[in-house]
Amino acid sequence: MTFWVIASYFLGGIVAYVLARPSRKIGAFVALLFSIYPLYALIPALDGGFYLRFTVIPYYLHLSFRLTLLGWFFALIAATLYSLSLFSAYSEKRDSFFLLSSMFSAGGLMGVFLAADYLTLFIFFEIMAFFSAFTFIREHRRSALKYIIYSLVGSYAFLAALLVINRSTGSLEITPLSGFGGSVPAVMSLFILAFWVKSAVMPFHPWAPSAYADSPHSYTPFFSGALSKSGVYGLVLAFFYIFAGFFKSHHAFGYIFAWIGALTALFAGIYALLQDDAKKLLAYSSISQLGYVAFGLGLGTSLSITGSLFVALGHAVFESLLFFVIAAVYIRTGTTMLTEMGGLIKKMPISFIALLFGIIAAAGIPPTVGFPGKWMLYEAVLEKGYPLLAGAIFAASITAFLYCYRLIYSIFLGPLKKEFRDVREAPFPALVPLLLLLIPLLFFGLFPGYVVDVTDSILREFGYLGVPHTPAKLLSGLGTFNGLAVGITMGAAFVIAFLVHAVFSRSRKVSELNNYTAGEVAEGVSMHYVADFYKFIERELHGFLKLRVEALFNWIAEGIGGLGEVLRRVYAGDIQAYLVYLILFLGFLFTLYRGVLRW
Amino acid sequence: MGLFRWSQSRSLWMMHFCTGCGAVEMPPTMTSRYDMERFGIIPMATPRQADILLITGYLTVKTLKRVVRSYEQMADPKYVIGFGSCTINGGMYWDSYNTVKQLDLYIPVDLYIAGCMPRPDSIIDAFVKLREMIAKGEANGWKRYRENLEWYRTNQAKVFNVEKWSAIEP
Amino acid sequence: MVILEFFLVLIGITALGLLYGGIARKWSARIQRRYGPPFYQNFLDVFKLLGKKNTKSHGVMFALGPVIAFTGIILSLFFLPLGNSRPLLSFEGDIFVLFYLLVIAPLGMALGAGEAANPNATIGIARGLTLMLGYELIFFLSAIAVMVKFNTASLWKIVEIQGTFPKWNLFPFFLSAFAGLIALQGMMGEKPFDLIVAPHEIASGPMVEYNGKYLGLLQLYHAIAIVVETGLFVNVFLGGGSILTFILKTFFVFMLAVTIDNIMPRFRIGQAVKFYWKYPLIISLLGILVVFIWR
Ligand code: SF4
Repeated sequence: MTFWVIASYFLGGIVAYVLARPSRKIGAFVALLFSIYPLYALIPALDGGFYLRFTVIPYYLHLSFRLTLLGWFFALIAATLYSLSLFSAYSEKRDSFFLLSSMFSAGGLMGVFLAADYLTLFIFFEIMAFFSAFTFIREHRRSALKYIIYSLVGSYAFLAALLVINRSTGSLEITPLSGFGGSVPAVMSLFILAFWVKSAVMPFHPWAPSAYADSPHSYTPFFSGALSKSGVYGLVLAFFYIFAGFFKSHHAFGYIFAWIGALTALFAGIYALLQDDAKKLLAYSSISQLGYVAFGLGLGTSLSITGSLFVALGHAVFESLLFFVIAAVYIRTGTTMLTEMGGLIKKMPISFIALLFGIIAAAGIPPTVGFPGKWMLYEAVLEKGYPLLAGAIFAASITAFLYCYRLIYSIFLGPLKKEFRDVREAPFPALVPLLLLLIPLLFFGLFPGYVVDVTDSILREFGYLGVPHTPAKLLSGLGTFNGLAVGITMGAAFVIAFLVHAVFSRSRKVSELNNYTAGEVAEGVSMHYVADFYKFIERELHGFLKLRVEALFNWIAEGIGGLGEVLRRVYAGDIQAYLVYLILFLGFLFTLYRGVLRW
Repeated sequence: MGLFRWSQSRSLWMMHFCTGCGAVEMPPTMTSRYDMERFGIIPMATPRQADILLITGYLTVKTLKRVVRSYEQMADPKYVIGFGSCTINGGMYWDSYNTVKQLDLYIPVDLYIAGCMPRPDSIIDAFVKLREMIAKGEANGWKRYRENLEWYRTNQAKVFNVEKWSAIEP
Repeated sequence: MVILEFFLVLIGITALGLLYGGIARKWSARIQRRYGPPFYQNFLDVFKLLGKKNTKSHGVMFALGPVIAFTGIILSLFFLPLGNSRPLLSFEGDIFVLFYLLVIAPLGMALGAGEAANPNATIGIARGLTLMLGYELIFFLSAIAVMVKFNTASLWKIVEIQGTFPKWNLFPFFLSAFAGLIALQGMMGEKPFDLIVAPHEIASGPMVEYNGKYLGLLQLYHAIAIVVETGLFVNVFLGGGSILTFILKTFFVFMLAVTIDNIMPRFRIGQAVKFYWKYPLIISLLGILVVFIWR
């Protein structure tokens, strides 16, 4: 069955590719069917314990799969998001090649989550990386290549680590490692680099904003919500399973990683509020949320890991919801620039409501799915007694309020632009994911306990204690959070407030030109305060904003570019060239492995 | 209803549309020497929040347009106080080509304060008078404006020298 | 019975907030050597606003904005213990929950004001959110010093542990409390941090288009917000006690803020944020350092 969970995507990709040629509708429908099967197969498979091994090339290449609870958790998120993204893709009229490559990337992702040995993990990781880049390489070559190159750097490191591990243990199976002395930190760093890059935690984030912004709008929700989770998955696996012994005995490592995560959350949040492109804004917001995840993993207490997994789930729900809204808006307006939109609330009310709930969750306000995870992280950091770290992530969460407001204001509030006078609500298929994602967004916010049930079992597999909870209530030993109580009180308070509002005399609706403008009528003047929204912050942080990791990487890239000039003479410099590099490098590593160069 | 009317008479938020020289008498009225906050009267920033529109002095035709717009943006009940001789009969600008001579042809004025310029004492006096009028239900210029909108519009259009006019263009 | 108690708290605190506002106006007037309005002036203002007719709305979100703001503040009120006599809902959510609930109200108001298409409103909101980057962080850092020391996140427990007068947190945590007080000034939007409303620059900012009953709702929200924000500070730093002492303490904290408000000019937004990131930040970090040395 696990085999078919993965194979369904690859098979479906090919079938959809063929069928989408004559008829786009049938292709999309078939793709949807093939993508729903894994979802259907995964939901009851909670008990896990499944192992499958089959041989591709005798003696040389075996693929093996296993359904662990952790893998199940992430695979379910990924499968759901992928199916939803197909609805949006249908409205966007994506072509057959998109279906093929996106299906393959989803299949690769499933393979990552279900892999039972390192080689399978590596292969599917590569499939995922390449095919996700193929979805947008035709339109946005530069950012796709940037993404591939960053991925490759991580993959090579992973491959090197894999070979070292194989050399010392003689097996490729994913099991906890013990021993091989002083080289563990080095191996572990190599190992996690790939996942670090993929989860876009700083300083390896520069690929993410451009890749998220340039990927197809319907694919980005999956890209950011699910693909980045492969990084989280790898980090969890490395910290709490494979290198658990090392991680538990070296607190400094976890502490540093927690700081990296917290600073990622903070800095990405600051960058997010300065972006003019909605998708770039969300991309930085996505990086910021994954910073929280990394932070929680670094702290390494059961509360913080649960928090991290919860944030990972929450991020998958609300970030992809937000990206889906942008996709829906783009279908009607043809732009993602915040400065070019405005006032769409009157034209696209359903999208507005979805975005509203999305930003409430992204800002982490209870009772939505965004809050319990963050709450657990705060409790965890308090329990550990690191007030500065707590301050850093709290500052990061304030930036979330800022960029969230900017997002909703610029797109939906403010005056309506002239050119959008007769825009309609987005087509129904594009609205399906919005409406469906609202359910987990509210449900897991009100009843966080149901998610903690799953994460508790995951933690127990890793030998940690669970977090005490009931369906609606989480207890941390330091404090409590009752999602349902917040929800009910909020509902009651809203009723009271609404009654106060409704009792008094009705109001009259006035046109947006009927504004207090000192008696002037501002016709033909843009009254949308949207460009340079947070100029004040930009001004104050001027010095800080000039320091960018990207500059460092660019500097390195220039150096390499000099070398590359030589190779450029030989190869045309297109995607094939990079494949050749890959093969050459594989060959190099193979020689390494054969023992030409001994470690 | 009684409660509302009573509180309406006791809490008056004022927007002073500083058009003419008389506005200079407002600061002493607001600040320590005369302190109009005693009567619950405080200046407001926008017509949306205001109850009183205070026209301080002469109005040019150009300004009148803005005054009418601001007036129509206020929520009911709303009151207008004409301040100084200029609003009553043009005052010392009685023969000027571009000032409005009689304010209540264009917006309904509840109360005039005579004088050129009126002292803060008389301004306070006017506010107290307005309070009494509101409490008694006599200050209903806003009702008159709504009932006779056509008449006011015609007058406004005439002085703006246009065919037809509405305060906020669609 | 429980519901009745909540209603009583809600009505009582609203009335209290309005009363505070009125007394504060009287107090400012006395500082400025004026006579000032009657102490019940804010009640009159709210009644008048609620009774206004023909109010203008710019759309659904515009109308819902004040409603959400009011909802948010009621919600935070219920999660705030009133001294150590009334826990209300504070066992269902701790101080972190309260921090996030406190954001709902400004966010609701910002959403509503955003629909008005008035740039003054949005400038006010952008300023308010930017300022949040200053004061929220400072308040958080000063509160977390206490939380780390007591090893709890529950506001109720913090109140209980510190007990009554001489054992107030104010004394051992005076640095944190001082930073918290500065943060409170910004949280309540009093001078020198009143740049969100700034009537003379941006025509009362987010409130620029609100009129009639909407403005009345916002006044009610503001009244409760006074008690909730000062109450948060009181609970963390000024110990417990009966509900009466709680009221007295919030009153004094508020009056202190109003007094400072009266003798201060207004910051530009850049200056305000920079200010918060400088001295109060250093003070609150020192406060945390004190906790670590003390342990
Ligand atoms: S009435 Fe006198 S003081 Fe007032 S505006 Fe006219 S001329 Fe100036």
